[in-house]
Amino acid sequence: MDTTMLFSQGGVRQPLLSVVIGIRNWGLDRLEIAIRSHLQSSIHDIEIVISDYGSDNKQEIQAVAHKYKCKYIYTEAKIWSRSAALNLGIREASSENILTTDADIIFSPRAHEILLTHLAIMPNSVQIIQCRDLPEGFGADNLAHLDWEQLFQVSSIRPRWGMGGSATFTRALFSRLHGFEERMTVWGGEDTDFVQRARRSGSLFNWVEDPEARIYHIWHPPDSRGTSPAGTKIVQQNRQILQEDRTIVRNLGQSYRGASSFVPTVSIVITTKDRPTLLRESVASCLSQTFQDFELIVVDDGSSDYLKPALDEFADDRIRLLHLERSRGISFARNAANRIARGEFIALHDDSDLMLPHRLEHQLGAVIDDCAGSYGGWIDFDDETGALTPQPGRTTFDRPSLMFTRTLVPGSVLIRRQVLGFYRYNESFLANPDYHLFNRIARGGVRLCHCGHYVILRRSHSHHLTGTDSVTPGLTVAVSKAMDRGSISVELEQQYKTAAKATQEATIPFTELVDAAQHLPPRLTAKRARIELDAPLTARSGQFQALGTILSASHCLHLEFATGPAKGIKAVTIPEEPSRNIDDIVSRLSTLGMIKQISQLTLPLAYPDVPTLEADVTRAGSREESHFAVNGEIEHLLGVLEKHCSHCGLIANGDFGFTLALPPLQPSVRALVHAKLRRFLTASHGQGGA
Amino acid sequence: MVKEELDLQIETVFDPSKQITTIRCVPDNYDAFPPASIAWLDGRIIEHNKDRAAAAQALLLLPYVSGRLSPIQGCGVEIAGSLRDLFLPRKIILDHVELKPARIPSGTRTVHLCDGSYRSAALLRARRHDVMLRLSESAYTTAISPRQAVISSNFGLFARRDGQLHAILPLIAAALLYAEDLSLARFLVPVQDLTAEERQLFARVTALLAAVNVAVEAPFLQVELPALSKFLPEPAALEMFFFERHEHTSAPEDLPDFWIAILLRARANGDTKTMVAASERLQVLGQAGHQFSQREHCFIQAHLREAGVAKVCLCDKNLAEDSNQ
Repeated sequence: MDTTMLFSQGGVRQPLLSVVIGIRNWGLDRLEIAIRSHLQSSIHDIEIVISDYGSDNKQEIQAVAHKYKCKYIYTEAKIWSRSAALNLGIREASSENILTTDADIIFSPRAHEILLTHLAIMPNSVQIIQCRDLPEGFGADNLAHLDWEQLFQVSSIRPRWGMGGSATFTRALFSRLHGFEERMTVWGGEDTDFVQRARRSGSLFNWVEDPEARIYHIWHPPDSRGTSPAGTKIVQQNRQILQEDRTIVRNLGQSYRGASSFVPTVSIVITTKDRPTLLRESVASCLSQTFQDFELIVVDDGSSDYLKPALDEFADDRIRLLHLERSRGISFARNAANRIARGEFIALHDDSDLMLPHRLEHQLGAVIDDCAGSYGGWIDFDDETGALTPQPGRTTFDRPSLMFTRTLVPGSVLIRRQVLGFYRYNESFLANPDYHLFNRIARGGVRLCHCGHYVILRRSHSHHLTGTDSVTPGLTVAVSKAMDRGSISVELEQQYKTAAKATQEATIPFTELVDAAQHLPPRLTAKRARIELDAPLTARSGQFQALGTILSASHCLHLEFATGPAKGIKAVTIPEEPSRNIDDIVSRLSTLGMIKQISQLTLPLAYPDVPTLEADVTRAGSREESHFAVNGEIEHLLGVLEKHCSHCGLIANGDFGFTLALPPLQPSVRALVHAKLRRFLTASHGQGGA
Repeated sequence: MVKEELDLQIETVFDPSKQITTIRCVPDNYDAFPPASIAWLDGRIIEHNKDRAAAAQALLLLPYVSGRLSPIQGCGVEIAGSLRDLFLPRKIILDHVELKPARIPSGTRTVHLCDGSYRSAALLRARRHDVMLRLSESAYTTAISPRQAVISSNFGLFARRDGQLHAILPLIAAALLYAEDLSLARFLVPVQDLTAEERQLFARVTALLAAVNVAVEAPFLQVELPALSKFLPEPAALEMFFFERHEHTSAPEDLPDFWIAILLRARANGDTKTMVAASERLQVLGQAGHQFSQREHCFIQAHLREAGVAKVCLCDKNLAEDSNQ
């Protein structure tokens, strides 16, 4: 048996196999017999982990565990979940090789050894032994001595429904799938679900057929699962997940860190050079992920200052720094990182970009069927004003799409490490090597899918790449494209163009953009208070005139107009500044009408309110507002604006009236509004005037 | 083309319009899903033999098959046993076996299957060959000339990379598909250090290829590493060899295989200074995540000890992480 490949190379001695048993209120006698069968194994280097998921007889089970030197974990729980019990047990297990089973399954002496031999030959697999059921009379009371020949004679073979009571696999596979599905409660289906996901992720499913490897189910009265209405519902729910959920990685809100042999599910890889300030922001965004089972590899591509102190500030043992003394370019640095990565997936990330908090959760949750990873939309942000340009990306990842559209940015990609172990960055390309890499990956037939969300904030600034001149990136892409297109016929190129045109841009709700703005660096944002009114304020009853008074006191207001026949002002947004008393403004507004809701927003400096942001991003880059110096006739001015604009901004200029900021308008509307504004303009009106 | 009701169904498609040869597979109950559903070779293969195609498919998809194998074009009874045995200890049901005798092609030429390793560099001079064949994932088109074939393909993506034989199986599969067109009779395989499991697999691969009239020879198999020294070319030629065959790298000095070759040559020549430099360099590369076989590992460690390196550690485990690259 050659098992060396399954051992960690670390210094801590690990058992050859961890047997993990999930249990809750089960017979102690069965448990003892099961443990004894494991201890009689032909291999002696076995660790047994008993994961007790809320048993009433905790102390008795603990005593049994102590008696047989098993590791014991207890979890308070009201409802039995075999999945959760096994996951918690595996988290505490020390070995790279895991065998999950039940407290009523006994193993023949050579079963463990044969399972491990098979696993060593096929590390990327789940190994199963077909279970044999012992008849009535072969319960716990009659199994003080295990006569294997007799057990074989009296038992009956169980059909290959489900998994037969055990599964043997590596910890790496557990990390890739991120555990048994914990939405499946009680028991039933979780083993099969685990194996189906394992298969889709590239692991085969092998039924061990060896007469010396046998497992037996100890007879006991059947449980009540499935007979009560509640039980039937659970069975149905579990079955529904099994049949309908096509994802591979599960339990994204859980963390299984903590074990000595923890394997991260994801390796986040950042390459950097001489940008410690940007790197700090970038690393902080990674550590704030909702999914936490990752490692973070920072490759320092020959920075002049040592980066370690900057990273030590985070005091997070998931951060690993690889320092290259001599800069070799981004391709070399990324290949170096991928080589030392331990995660089953690699999340590519740039040192100037910011991860949105749900990035890993969204992208892992989007890896379906046999996809090798996922990517998402990205939002470019101006590093001076915070102005946002959303880029949803394309939903199709294939060669035509990559060749003729902007499908993705590499910093939004999460991909299996196995793929990047084969497809490497070309180190001759000192900058922008990603087009070449992802084109080859797409050409190789590897599938990536769009996760349907924005996943990063991408900084727009003059030096986007580490240590390169500005000519190289364009040159790299040009050379890559020439090689790519030169290898296909003109006819095929035309077909690719047509196919690329047919690909869809991803549709991502606008609300994600507003949410993303909350995660910009604080220096690029300002806080706003949005006061929504129960009924729109109108020119009637002097409400507009009163608003003018409030404006004079508050300096700056952004007004949203109601649509539909009613018109009027439905919400007012006020910048939050130390010098401004928001409570006072709210109090004044409340005298004009009932306040429905007050919400606090963080918006980029470039936008006074959400409608302006929306108007900006939906107009594909037309960011210019029109600003006008207007006189104090607020009541009439608002009467004009409510008819033609969705919103506007007003800034009080003391004795000189106000500055009016208008959003981008359709050309015809713009001309009409500008004409109507003439009567309000003062001599010193600003840019963009009529 | 794809019939989902069949079990792991594999089919080699020779598509003249696109000048591409593809192997499609549809996994069933126990099979793993490969990293891509289609394996392809750029270029047309003219002569098709169903036994060789079935053997090539099995070699390529070895890490993914469990339960049943259904080569669509079928295979002869002569290779059925070897095909089933290839998957041991997995027990495979083989479909579409034909009892009717069929022609088994034969060739005359010896091909060197080049995996870009130092072993391959040594094999160039250790054994005469008629043609050298290698796979390339980054070449956009296949180039075949009388002495050399560079096959543009994604076959390598399907390989396990945890052993010299596992890593080279896609190359053997590709060579098998081209065997009749290129009149190949003998495969020279540059493996040297195989695990116990791989040695058994090598015997089964040899038996399978023998059943389709192809001989397999691994001249360095289980030979001690220093024995390769006398076949390795000069450093300048080594640089050229590695540079041409590792398209992603910009400097052969970044490759562990280059430094193992240098170390072997220096050892043979008694060049202590170069031996120390090479073994230290290999230590750094090991810490940077490059993998070594068991024998390579021992060989390098022994030289590090000889060189007086206080702490011998070839693997990155926790944080290495100052690298002199």
